[in-house]
Amino acid sequence: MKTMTTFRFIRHLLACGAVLVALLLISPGVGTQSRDIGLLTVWRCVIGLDLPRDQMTGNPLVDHDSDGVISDEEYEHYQALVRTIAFQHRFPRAVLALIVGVTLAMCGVTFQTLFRNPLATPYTLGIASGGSLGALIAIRAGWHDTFAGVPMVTLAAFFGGLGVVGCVYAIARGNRRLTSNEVLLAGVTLGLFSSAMMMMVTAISSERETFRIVRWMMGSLDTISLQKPHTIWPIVVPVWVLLTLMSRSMNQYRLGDDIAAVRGVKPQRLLAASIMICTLATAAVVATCGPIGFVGLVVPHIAAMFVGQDCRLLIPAAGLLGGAFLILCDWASQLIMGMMGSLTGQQLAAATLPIGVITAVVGVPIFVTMLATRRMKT
Amino acid sequence: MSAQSHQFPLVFRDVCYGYDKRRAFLGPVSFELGRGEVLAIVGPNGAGKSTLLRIAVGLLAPDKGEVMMGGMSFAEQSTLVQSRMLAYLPQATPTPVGMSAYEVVLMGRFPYRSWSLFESSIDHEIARTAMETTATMEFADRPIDQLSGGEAQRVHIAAALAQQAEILVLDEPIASLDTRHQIELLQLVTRLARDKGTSVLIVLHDINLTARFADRVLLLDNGQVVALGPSREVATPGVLEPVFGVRLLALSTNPGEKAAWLVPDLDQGELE
Repeated sequence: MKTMTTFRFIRHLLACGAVLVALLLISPGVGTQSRDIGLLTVWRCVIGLDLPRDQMTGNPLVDHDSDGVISDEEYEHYQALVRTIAFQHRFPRAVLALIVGVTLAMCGVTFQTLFRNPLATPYTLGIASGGSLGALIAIRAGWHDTFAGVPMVTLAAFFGGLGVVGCVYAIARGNRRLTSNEVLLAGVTLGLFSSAMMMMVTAISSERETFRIVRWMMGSLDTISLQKPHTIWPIVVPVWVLLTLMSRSMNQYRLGDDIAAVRGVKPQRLLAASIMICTLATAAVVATCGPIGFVGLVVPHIAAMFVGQDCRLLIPAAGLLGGAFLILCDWASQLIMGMMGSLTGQQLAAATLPIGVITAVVGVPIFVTMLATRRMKT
Repeated sequence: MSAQSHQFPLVFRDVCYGYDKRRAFLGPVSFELGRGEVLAIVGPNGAGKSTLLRIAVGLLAPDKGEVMMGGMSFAEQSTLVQSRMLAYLPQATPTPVGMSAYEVVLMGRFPYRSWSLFESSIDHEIARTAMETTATMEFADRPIDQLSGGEAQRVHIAAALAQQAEILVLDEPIASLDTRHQIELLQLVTRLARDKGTSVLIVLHDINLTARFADRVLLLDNGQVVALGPSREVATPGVLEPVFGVRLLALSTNPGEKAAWLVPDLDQGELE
């Protein structure tokens, strides 16, 4: 009989984790900067194997004086360059993609379970847009300080997201229809309102700022982003742990508030706590990378196909797959731009396609399909 | 006295529940639910049946009066103790799409959770026994959203069974089932009451099935208890006609039967 046991849990998580680890091992070899520094070169440098010097002649990255001879100095210089690109640019970028993917996917599962709606995510509920608006206001106002270790931009994003989710919740509660599509409608509407407000803020910004803001709003893992990535760890990792620990109670929620309450879950408390911590995690992500949509929508459904609906497995598994998904999307965003550049023979303005474009291209068809099939069922 | 051995697992003492202060919406209601007893709550729509059940399982707190469970006041008991004593099946249960019947039954073990995220082998054993008792084992691996209404309802009963609750509270569990499945479900419930000593508080609409399967009937009208007694005494035209506003015809029965068959007498016209 198919049941959740510790053994099955570990086996599935190991499988998902293996995918993620493999991607992380490949990540130093993939990137826009110096495309000819490939995976083999990177790992050769790392484990101390000699690079084939004779193949390097003519490579302007190595042969600085173009004399056709690779001197020891040039060789060592090249090795240092490879390490820098691999482990100070590409790998951290993959790790950031991982953090963002894990967080958004886990929050997606949580909202889908608690709102009992397969379309509920931090984005469809408007939390991300509200958070982006908060972050944008903080950035425009120049609040770059930290408060109790949390960057002000993240805090502003948190309150922006909380404002929107509070409104959505109030609307839904007023109608006593928390599970219905009205929650989504309220979320999408308030999300659109937040987006409109963001456009207003953008409109009154200078040209230089506008470019940065627009890039950020498209979703970006670039290191030039508005918030430093290292501030995200202390916020999201506890959220991952908490959501996994709450998963058994979340399962009860699938049977409705009443059964859950009689079995000893505090449904309102669980819902409020989950919304708060997911909003916080989303805020941290949004403040760092801008609104990257559809991860929280697509990944949980893909993960559920493999591991089933039990939240205890689904939350960590969706998290791991979300990390892997976003790393892949980031590679696509980098490589597609390079391909387009070489096809057209032009130097394109941006080195990478915004990752939000990729996740939307993957996510929108899935979202629309689900919306359509859902309407047919009900 | 331990909670498990109490003679009346559930006692309502002058329970009132009101939406406004001047007039009670429900009550005062008093009754004692005995061990292994099936007590049916019957009444017109809006009589307060579901409200009464929600008070019984602690989802609503009474404005006046007291609910005692296992000889202790409800308010003084811990949530954990209550969750092990009570199993509740509301009128409409959201279908957890994609979860197997077995997973749903296993979720009934939630009140016995430990620090582990997962159920113990004892939990699995109990869930399997519950499924065998309710004859749901054959579709244990099927997703619950693909089961028929009767099968899904039996799975929910199995989950309640896995909860090993002394008191089973069911809100119109047969409302959407066909006649055969209605009877099968009521047979299952009464068998649990008889064999395991489970006390059952159940809201039903079908007077004739109520009369046959319930030990006692509590008749509610406008939040007031109109009658409380053995099925045979309550399920009579004299008691039910004024409450439902329909003339009833009692068909003659064999002497051994519990109660007369009641059918609406449409030829006599509306009741004054």
